[in-house]
Amino acid sequence: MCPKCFKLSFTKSTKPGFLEKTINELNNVMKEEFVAGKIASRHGLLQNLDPRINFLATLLLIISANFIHQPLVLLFFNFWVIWLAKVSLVPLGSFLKKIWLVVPLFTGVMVIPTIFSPFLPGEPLLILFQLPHPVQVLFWQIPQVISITKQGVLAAVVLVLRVGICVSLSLLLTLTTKWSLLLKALSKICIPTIFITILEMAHRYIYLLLQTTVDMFTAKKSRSVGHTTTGEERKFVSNSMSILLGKSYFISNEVYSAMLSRGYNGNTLVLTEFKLKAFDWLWLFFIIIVCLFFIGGDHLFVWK
Amino acid sequence: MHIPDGYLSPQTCAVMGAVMLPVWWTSVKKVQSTINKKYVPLMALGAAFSFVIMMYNVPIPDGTTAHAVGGSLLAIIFGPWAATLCITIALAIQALLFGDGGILSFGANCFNMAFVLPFSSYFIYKILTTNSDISSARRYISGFIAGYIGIVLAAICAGIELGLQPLLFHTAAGVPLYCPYPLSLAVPAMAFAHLTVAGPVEGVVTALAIKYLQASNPEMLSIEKIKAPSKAFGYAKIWIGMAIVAVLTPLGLLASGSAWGEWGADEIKDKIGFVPEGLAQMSDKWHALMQDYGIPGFDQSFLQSAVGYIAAAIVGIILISLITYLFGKTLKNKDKEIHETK
Repeated sequence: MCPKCFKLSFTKSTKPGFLEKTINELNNVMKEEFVAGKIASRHGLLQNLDPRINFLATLLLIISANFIHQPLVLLFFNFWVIWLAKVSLVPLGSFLKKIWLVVPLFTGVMVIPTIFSPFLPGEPLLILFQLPHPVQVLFWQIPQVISITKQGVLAAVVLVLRVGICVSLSLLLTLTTKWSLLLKALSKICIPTIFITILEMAHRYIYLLLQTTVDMFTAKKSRSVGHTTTGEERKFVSNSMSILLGKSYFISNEVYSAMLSRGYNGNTLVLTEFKLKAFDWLWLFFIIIVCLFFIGGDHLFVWK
Repeated sequence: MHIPDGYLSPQTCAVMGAVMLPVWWTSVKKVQSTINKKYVPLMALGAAFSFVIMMYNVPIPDGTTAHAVGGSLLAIIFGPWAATLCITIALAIQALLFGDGGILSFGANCFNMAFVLPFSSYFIYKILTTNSDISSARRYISGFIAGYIGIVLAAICAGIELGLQPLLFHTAAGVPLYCPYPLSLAVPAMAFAHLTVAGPVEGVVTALAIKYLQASNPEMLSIEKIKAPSKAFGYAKIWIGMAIVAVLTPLGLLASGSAWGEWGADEIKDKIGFVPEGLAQMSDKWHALMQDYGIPGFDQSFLQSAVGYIAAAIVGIILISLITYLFGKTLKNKDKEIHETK
């Protein structure tokens, strides 16, 4: 399926409105799922691991990343995660774009104020200007010297690098593990089966409701002529939500009847059996070594 | 409002997860006891609905769009416990499948959006609509207030969680280790954003949805009323347990000193009067290892030591990258063997 088919085209004169934005966002969700499914089918390193080991390893690595506070160690950790993606046959271009366009855009922008002394006092790295005296705005004290601080820069760099690692690892887990297998793996670890059953069903019905929404919005778009006010548009969105809620409730009753007629008695069974191989244990052992390596490096690599 | 991983300390994430455990357990029990076996498809569709409407672009007066959470509407229609379950599932799908919100911070996100938001909205709506007709204007006006206050309270909770980080977790030099903004900045920032944009959007969407249901599908508004519990369920112990956790949480968070199990040898000596022999040996080995990280004869100054550490780190990185590659290579060879035997 051509990705371009998912995008609605707009003439130069018309700015994409809320309808097109929503339709394109919903289509992107379906497209991403399609692409992730294709990557998960490749024979890379992480794709061939037992999903339980893949999930546990991801969790261990994320926890480790959260205990690391040295920028250089976090940078090395990031490089290793990118290498892990490469070895798992994940297309690096789109992987890096997804992480390093999004993380600096959100986390980066969010932490920029931190580097200035009014937000985080500290040792000045670069003095920008001086006020005649400190200023008190409500409960916020603005110091006399406005500067970029060492503590602020360090805090911002550490946060961006750490969020980068965490988002990369989550994305890697998503891309290299089929959703159905990941859920079954979760049910084998510690999550009650009932949660997993609802999760699995919810995942299926998300796509049905996404398609229903796309149909409703496309129908509205194709029948709209002229200008509509923001109030009318808001009303349409809210009405669509109500219709979707009504449809969801109706479908849930239908699904329940269908389940009953097929012998559902309230118990759910997980049919997939996983078998741990020596390779899986070896990988888990290696991941523990990697975690200790980075955490150890963090303890040794103290800035003086 | 989805907090990604990396903003909150693992300790905070663990506490928030622990707080949510009894809530999830109770929500499953409560929903099971009120809707019986029918609740599985209903919760699945509710979660799918919750996920999808979080993607709806709602036009706002400045010409741009914002997103609603829809948690208030779900709580009003299905009740707060069912809404908790639906939003939790929706958040799990977002975290695991779309990387929206962290895996480690899942408990904190659920606390804000799947607990505080639906419960506060539900009780505000219930109080305001007591003895009102299904078709009464009080219903959708209450829906607006419930949606507005619910999302603002959830945002303030997220602000508190983020604002506690620099207070509790920072280096000796004052570098915040997680979210860098203190309570005095994080809470007003989160509250302001939600008071001005997200709150009105959630309120208006909830009100308009209720108004539409009053006109076209009024029985939807009495679903929650119909579902009386089929059997009594003892909540007293759960609430007592949750109250104890709530009381103890700040004490644990504000405790000074090292985290439990992270003491240095000196701290252990202070605590128990001696250093266990095994620990002393391990400590010596650790220091020996630390010395080995440098390059022998190249550790006279800080600069030389730093260069030594960097060299050791690069060697380590190359080594683990090589092992990672070999793992992948082993698999490829295995695949080849399988294809050849076929």
